[in-house]
Amino acid sequence: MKKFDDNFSYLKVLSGGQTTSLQDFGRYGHQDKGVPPSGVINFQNMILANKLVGNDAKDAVLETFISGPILEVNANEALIALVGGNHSYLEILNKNLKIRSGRSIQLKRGDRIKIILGKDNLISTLAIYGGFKVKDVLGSKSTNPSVKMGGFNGGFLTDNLNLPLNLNNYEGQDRIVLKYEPIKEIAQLRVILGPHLDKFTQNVIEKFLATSWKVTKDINRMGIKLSGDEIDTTSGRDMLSDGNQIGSIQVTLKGEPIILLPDRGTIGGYPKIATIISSDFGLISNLKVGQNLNFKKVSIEEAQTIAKETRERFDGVLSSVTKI
Amino acid sequence: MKNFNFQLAGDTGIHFYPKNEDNKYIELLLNDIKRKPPNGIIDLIPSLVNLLVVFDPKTTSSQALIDYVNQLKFSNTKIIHSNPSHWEIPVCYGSKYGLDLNFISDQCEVSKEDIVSIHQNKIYKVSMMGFLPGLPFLTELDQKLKLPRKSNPRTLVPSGSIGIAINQSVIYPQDSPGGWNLVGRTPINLFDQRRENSILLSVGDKITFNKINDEEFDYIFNKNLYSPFKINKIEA
Repeated sequence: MKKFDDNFSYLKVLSGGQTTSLQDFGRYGHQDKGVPPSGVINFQNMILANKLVGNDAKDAVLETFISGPILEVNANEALIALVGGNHSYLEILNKNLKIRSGRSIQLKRGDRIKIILGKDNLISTLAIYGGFKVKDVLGSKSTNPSVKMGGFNGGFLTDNLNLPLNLNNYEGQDRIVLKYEPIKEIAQLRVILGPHLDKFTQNVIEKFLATSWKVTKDINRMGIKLSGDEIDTTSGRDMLSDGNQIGSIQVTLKGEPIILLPDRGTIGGYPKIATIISSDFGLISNLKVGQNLNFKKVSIEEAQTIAKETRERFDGVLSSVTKI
Repeated sequence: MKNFNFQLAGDTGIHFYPKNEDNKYIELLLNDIKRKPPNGIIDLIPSLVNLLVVFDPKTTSSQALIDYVNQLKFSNTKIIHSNPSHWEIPVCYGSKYGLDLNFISDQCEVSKEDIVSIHQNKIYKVSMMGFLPGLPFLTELDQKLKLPRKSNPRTLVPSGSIGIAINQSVIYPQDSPGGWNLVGRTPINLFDQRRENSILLSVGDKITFNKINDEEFDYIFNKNLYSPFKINKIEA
């Protein structure tokens, strides 16, 4: 029996919060034409949140950056799950309930939810059964607000926006739990040095690795600016632009490092001192403004071993399904 | 012989630099990989100095791709495109469309009429795209028009504006801040999400500019704003 009617079902945005947007795996394959891929910062969180509500791993999710929205359910029922940090939770405002990260919850029409990031978390992911009814742009639903592409009108959630849901074929969904521990604070990210090692002296590279960097409030989906001792970029001043790898750390002419995120320009003219390894990139979602951050050098071989172990651990979490 | 040096961009990217700094090899490598992509390639980002190859570490590895690139032989260094295109882009030069024409004339000591004919009288190559989706960097601008970027970038450059700086020309695909010296504006949308082929140009394409007047600009602008446009596409 169908539990949902076929009428227009949507989440109403009562308050947009700061920067929440629709994201999926990203718009890859067009970077040679200057299109940033966008997409979630933390792929694991997206896959987990989708799994908890019975979606395909690739379904688009709401990614909340910095501060969360308040949403009202305009559907007979909805199954949603938040995946964030250790202290992240969903608040069901009209029921005075708190649902912690990594759990799904069934909601009724009129329920109002608020995403609370918690003190150890910069980014959280919210999935809803069936996903959102949004057209693909260049093969992806990901939003890039800086070029007004994808998502809901190309932008962040704004007050009074309706987010249409795909609930047509819903016939009830088992609730499940996974053996999953939310990530606690992150004090270190591992990097492979380069690509532009010729633009920094050995001393500068060692100083970069020894510095305890501060995460500034200059954060958006293009990058995270860090502060600390200035890095000497004298020999990088006349550099010609080249491709910007997501996760590379570029150093501006002022000597400030910026971690490049999925909405950054595809090419850039600042030298890049190091690149965060793929296994650690998603951990960016657990940084917080004002915290200290170190970078630890690893070799490509070490990065490959870490990646394999990370994948095996994550596959273990995904197969630890228990019905409730 | 190995044609490329490389630098790692983490465990999911490699910048390949041509050994002799001849950027023809960047295009050769780009076309070769596009024609016969090895497993695991996610994206290719060419620039004037190197080719950044982005890959899936679950499917391939840095070493596998370095080995692959090293065994490529470019005996025939004539660049073969999978889809060669030569586009003729209409441009309205000067007045409200090219706000820097007087400035360029003063700086380069070339009359405005000569700037227009010099800018028009060239076949440009799309050597790199970026900064904005669909924005082409066109190389081989005439040396007579060489000048630096503006010291005070404009906060708003209208879409279609054509700028020059260093020895390159760009076309802004959408409204954006920008620091290039503006010579004119095309009524054509290089980037339109409503269009099936939303980004018109590709790296390797050739471009010629064709001077039009205000009325022609308005006609094309109004007619094509919301529909796929047609322009002359000359086979390369």
